[in-house]
Amino acid sequence: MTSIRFLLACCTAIALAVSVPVHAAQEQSEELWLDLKDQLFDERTLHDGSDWLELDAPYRAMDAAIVPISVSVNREQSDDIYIKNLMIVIDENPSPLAAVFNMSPTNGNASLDTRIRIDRYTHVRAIAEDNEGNLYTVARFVKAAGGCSAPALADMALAKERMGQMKFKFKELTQDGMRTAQLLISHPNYSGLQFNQVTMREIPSHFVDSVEVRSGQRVLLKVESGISMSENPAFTFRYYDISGNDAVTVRVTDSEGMVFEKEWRPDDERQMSQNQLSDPKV
Amino acid sequence: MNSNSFVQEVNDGIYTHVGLQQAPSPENGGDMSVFGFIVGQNEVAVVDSGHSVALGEQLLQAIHDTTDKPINHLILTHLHPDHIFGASVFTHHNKDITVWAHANYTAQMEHIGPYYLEGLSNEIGDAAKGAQLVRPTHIITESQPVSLDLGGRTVRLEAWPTAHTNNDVTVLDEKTDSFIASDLLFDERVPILAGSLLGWRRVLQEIKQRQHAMIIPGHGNATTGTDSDELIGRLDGYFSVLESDIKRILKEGGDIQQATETAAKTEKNKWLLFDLYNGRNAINAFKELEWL
Repeated sequence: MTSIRFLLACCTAIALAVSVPVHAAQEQSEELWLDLKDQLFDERTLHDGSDWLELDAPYRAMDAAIVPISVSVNREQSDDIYIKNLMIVIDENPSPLAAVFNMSPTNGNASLDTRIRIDRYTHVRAIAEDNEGNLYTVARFVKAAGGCSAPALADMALAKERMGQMKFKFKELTQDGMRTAQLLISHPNYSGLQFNQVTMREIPSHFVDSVEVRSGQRVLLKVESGISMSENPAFTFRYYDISGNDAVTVRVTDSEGMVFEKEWRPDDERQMSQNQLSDPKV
Repeated sequence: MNSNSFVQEVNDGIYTHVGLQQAPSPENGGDMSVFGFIVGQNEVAVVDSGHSVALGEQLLQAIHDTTDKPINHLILTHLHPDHIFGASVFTHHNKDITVWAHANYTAQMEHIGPYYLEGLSNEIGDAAKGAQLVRPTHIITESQPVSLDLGGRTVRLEAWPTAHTNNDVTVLDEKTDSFIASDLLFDERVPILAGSLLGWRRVLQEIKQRQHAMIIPGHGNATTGTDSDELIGRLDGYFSVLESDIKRILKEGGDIQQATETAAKTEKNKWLLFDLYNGRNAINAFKELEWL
């Protein structure tokens, strides 16, 4: 696990966006996975997590640069035994380790949603590590190609101007105080693989590399991420909202050393959405 | 006189080729968009060039069959492969031709153009041969439309705020009040949203208010009178459903996958190529609306 940072930032394989028959791609993916598994976890055993760990991803993605995935942990979490790390691995991507999420009992069942890039037909894996160091994994095969090298179609000027803007959407709050929330970060997340043939240069990589969400001293979520995350990274996750109006602070850093910070409260947002509702234009 | 069936004279001196209502394929060689030319007393302006060198050459032949006036202007309505990859035919034909495009075009071309060029043979097969990116020689800004005097008729080139793409240009022939909207208007086939949903809806309102005598879409046939209102209405109807579906999904806390699976599905039977493009439109609309 010492090489996580390295793996998040670097290319361990140069993948070309070619289509290969699914069958062949699946076999190839299994071979790659054995290598990757060694790199990421050495000799440690990965248990089959399919009894309680679920990974949802579209079998065929509409847009390889924005593939929504969802990880559900259907296992009782407690202070004694909980998911400490959730990792997303995309076998065939130039940077296979997409993200590592540090979780804690405050995340309840540790489920989360995010959006990834997929460079070619590949297995996507969720790997959960509990606080005792046991590893569990599930995989899904996804048909998509070109997501890492595809140029960002978004308006580049707008992307630059909006870089670092954030939204925090407080969603459902259950009876037992479990809050679902979504963090949106405006960032082009340049992969370094997007090639400009006029200048004959790669557009340099520039991506969000860490996200920390806190409520006071309490860490709600930490993410280490790399170029396999979509532009404008989005994370939906859960945490105990103790007062029902806990303030959250988000701190984002990127690979160029830029830092973005912001704070929100659920009440502020309610206020805002009420203003919006009273605006006839909306 | 024009004896070439590649183009039709849709209005006095305005000729268009109307491509198939299909996705690009090696079989159709990319012949699936509308492009054409306007003939003045002194010169000819070409509006878009088709998907390939072969289509550009057919257009050039059609112009030769129609007039001997020099082809002095080429307008590229936006950077999408089906409109631009015949352009080099005209820059080779006339080294001094002025090539007009939106002020955002060149940056977008440098950014995405090579990707389009690289993917072209996957899209249209052998017809991709010889395709090149052509750089504009003149730009049009949103605040300053450009008037070109072709002799006995003036055409007005306008650059629009982000709508279909971030580099949409239209051509208005003032003599006949014909408005070449290019891909700001789609008929029959579902539109492709690569710019801004809200921006595009605002632009549609403006086009509708203007009540031009004829509108010429980028996909589908030219229309006049109430047919034009209906065409614009159908298109805005689709966007309206897409917008309200996605806003509802956002409000209910849903995410982007739900949008690709459900948004605007009620429009499915109204449009060709719906399954091919609607999901992606939903993604693009969702990306835009989630930041509101």
